[in-house]
Amino acid sequence: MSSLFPGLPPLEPRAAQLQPTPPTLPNQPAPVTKEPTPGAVTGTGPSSQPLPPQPQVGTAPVPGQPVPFTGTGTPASPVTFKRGEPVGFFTDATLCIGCKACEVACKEWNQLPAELGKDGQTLPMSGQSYDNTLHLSGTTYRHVAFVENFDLSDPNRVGGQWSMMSDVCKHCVQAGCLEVCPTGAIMRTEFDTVYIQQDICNGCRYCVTACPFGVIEMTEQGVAGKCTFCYDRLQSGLTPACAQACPTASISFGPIDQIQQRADARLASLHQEGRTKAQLYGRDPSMLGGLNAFFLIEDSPEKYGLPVAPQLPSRNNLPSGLLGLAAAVLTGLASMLAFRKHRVETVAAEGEEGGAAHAS
Amino acid sequence: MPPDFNPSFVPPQWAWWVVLYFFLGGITGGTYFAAAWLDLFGDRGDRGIVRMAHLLAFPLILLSAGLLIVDLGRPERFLNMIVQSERFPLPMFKPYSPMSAGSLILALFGAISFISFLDAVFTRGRERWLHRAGSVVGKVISFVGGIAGLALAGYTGWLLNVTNEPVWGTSPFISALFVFSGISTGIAAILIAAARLPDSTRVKLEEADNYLMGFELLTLLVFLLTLGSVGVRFVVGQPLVVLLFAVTIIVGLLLPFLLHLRPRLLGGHRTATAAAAALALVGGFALRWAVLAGPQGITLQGISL
Repeated sequence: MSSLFPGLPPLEPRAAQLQPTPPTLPNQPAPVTKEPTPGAVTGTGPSSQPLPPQPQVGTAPVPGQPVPFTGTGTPASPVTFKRGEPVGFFTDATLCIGCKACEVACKEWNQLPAELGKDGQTLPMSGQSYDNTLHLSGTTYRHVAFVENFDLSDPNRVGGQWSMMSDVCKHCVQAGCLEVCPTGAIMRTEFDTVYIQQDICNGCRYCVTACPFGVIEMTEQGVAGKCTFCYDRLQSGLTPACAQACPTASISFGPIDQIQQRADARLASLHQEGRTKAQLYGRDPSMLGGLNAFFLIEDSPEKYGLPVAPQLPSRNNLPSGLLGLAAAVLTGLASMLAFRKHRVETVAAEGEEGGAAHAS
Repeated sequence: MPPDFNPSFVPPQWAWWVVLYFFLGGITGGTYFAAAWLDLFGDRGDRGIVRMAHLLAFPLILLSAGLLIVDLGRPERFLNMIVQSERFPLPMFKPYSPMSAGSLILALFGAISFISFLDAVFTRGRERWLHRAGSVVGKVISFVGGIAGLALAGYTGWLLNVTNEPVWGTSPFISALFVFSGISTGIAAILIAAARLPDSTRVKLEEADNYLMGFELLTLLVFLLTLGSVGVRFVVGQPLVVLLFAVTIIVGLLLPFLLHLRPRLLGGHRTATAAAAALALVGGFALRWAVLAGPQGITLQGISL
């Protein structure tokens, strides 16, 4: 299989990549693992170094026991991470060139179909942008947004510019989709990512309404679909396909605390350069507990199609529940009053009639 | 200042099956609730109507559940909402997820209405076993079923409110609105379905309905006002939605109220009662359609947004 980009190793089909290392049996001694060190994340890019030690596959974490697992990324993006340790994406929009390698790599690895037009034959053209994907969907887990900053009143488009950003599921620490899912199909993995078990999902679409980022959509199979954070690759110690394919290191992958440090350093650097509009989106826990896929953007979030203040749907549980309860109590009391009042009136009328008859 | 609604929202494409489910679910819950309260607080003259409502509620909940299942992307997996798919038969229950809680409410209501249905079917023309006058067991069943009926009528509003969709997630009054409307349409269904309705029972039901329609009108106005700018965009900005809310208020609330007060406008109690009940049902349906159409734009042809 040929590589998408010169210098980067090709993305082999998943079966070929997941084969090499046999599973570790529970009774075998734990393998020697390499502890991650600060600064161990070395980013993406070509590498001619020999293959790193192969990760252990198939060892389930045991509570209270050391985790015998260390992912070592891929030659193109050697990253050290452990099972049970939160990982994340840091997407730096200032480095994105809009090549869509991440979209293609994601589609290739996850075997996702292209989104065809209504005729089912041709690729749809948005007709309003060079971006024809437009948004994330049940079969587009990465989407490179083309933010077109042009003065439309100027026919020559002088001074205009594009801002690119590779959007993805945010894998929120407090995830609305996970909260509301009535089947338990949406789960949090041992890497702190949010994963939809499509073999359990029954297609109720409640998660679609709950996601504050509009990430989740339905697939043709009638189940919800979104970024899996390449859970299968993580379990095999591999870097997610999009991060591996990114040729500019716009997408960084690694343990969340390490990529947060990297993001802070990058932001400080940009501010030093005088690019003061640069800001981190979703880095802080104030936004849904922190996003495990957060962004560095150089304009307001709305420009990139990101909500300014995303909220959990469960914020409405208490007020809505209490008002519903109050209405139920009121209904019960009003109906009781209507039914009893009539009975009292009937009994009184019968009493009067009886009394009159008795007197006569 | 952040906008009043999240611009990243994606409509869930809940269309006609869900509109019908919300409508029928409200009627079903309301029917059983009215029967339960007549059983608990009514008199001997109401027994026939209680029985009729029990015969009505269970088939309606079966139909409602069917609509809900048909709307799923994978209908064959509907049980995953009730039991844990990998740890059968452990229940699947997340109290903070209205849809999960709703599944439990639906299951509980279905079981209770089934018991009452069987009791009504097998005691035709005789004294009922469970729901006979003065039966403590029958009253306990009625009380629990009545509460479940209220929950069934109202949880759909709670479910809509616990989302990030504009209109649905904007005003918490939607749950109260659905409670009042659901019970009111349930009473309307009884008033239409009962061929021989004793005058005393009719008066009671109409009086309760008058209260509920008053509450519903008030709650609907508060709901619309609390939508703020979201209402301007997703209600006022859509002529069909405006029309549906107008139908809800005028046809579904004001006209039935008028007919309850002035039955002679239609020649007498029997005709006026049936007409008012039919109009209330039309209003209840229009309300569900209007609310679900808000962020989705459901037209007769389907989702338009």
